[in-house]
Amino acid sequence: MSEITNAVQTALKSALDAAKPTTPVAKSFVTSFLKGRAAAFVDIAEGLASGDIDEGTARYLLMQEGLLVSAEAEAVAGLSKVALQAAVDAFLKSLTDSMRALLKIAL
Amino acid sequence: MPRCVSPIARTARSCSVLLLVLGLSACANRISASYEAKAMDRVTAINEKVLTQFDRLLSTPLVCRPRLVASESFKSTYGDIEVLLRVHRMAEEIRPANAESAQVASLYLQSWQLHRLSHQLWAQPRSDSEQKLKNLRAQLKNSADLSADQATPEESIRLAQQLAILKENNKPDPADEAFEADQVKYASTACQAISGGAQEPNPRSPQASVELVHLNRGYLGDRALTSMRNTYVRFGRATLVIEEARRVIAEEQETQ
Repeated sequence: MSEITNAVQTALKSALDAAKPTTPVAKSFVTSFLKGRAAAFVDIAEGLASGDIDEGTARYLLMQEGLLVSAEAEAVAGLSKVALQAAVDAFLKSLTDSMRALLKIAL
Repeated sequence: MPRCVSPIARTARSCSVLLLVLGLSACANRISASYEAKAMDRVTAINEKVLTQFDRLLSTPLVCRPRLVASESFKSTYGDIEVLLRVHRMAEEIRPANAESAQVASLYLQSWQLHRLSHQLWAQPRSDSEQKLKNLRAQLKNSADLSADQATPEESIRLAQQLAILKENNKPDPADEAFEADQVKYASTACQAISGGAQEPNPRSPQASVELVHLNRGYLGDRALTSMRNTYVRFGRATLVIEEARRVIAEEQETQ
């Protein structure tokens, strides 16, 4: 599902724009952190597209995934001092907007 | 995106990245709580119970899951895990300089409370159950005191029902009640048939009933349960990674 992959790329760009990492290491970190988490969102979107889950369940799973990513960002940011929350917020918003448009649902 | 990477490989890769970053950056950080083996044990024990619960659900035939979820012994495990999560959050909150672990524990608890309620709402029309989940989420999110006891999911349902009675416009639609009754009746009958030796119905078959499709695509379906199980694996790992990083820091400091 290349549209969803494109949506993830766009979301990553939004996250980087929001976080404004100042060093290549920080930029690389934000990207790898969110890329590692994008697979779960893609999985939910694919489940919805294939009819394995319905819209309400997809929204519920995305909400839970959002909670989890916030927890992970908290865990990392607390110890590493890498500002992740802005990136996570931008990433989630961009991904949700894209999926809403792609899958024609109200996320 | 290639789909050939297994969940285990993804998990290992994510964990490695986290550990590397935490390990590299933590040396400069001296305002974080010290390593506590008890925290590791607590989270490991919680994760064990959570994964056991998912294993029991996933290994039960789809149409029999509602019966399992409603059984007293299984219902009590949701409560037991919630108690463990509350105790864990409380323990994390009283550790000095431990805001990150406390926040992770709080989000873990929130997630579990929503998850617990979602399983009780399997028979309801999705729009109705979504609203209840959203209400609980808002209630949890708006709580000023993270340590304060939240209403249990059962209390939230009762509260929502009472509000619906009070507000004429929000009265449950008789059609919704019929929908719920149909779901419950179907699951009960189909599960009984399976227990009697009948073949498990295929929810992906073109002949699958509306009730079976609703059940399969909902909160108790394979896909949703697998996704949630993976979520809790990562929740547990987020906590363990913090403690593991602290252990590495402590060891580094000892050798210096």
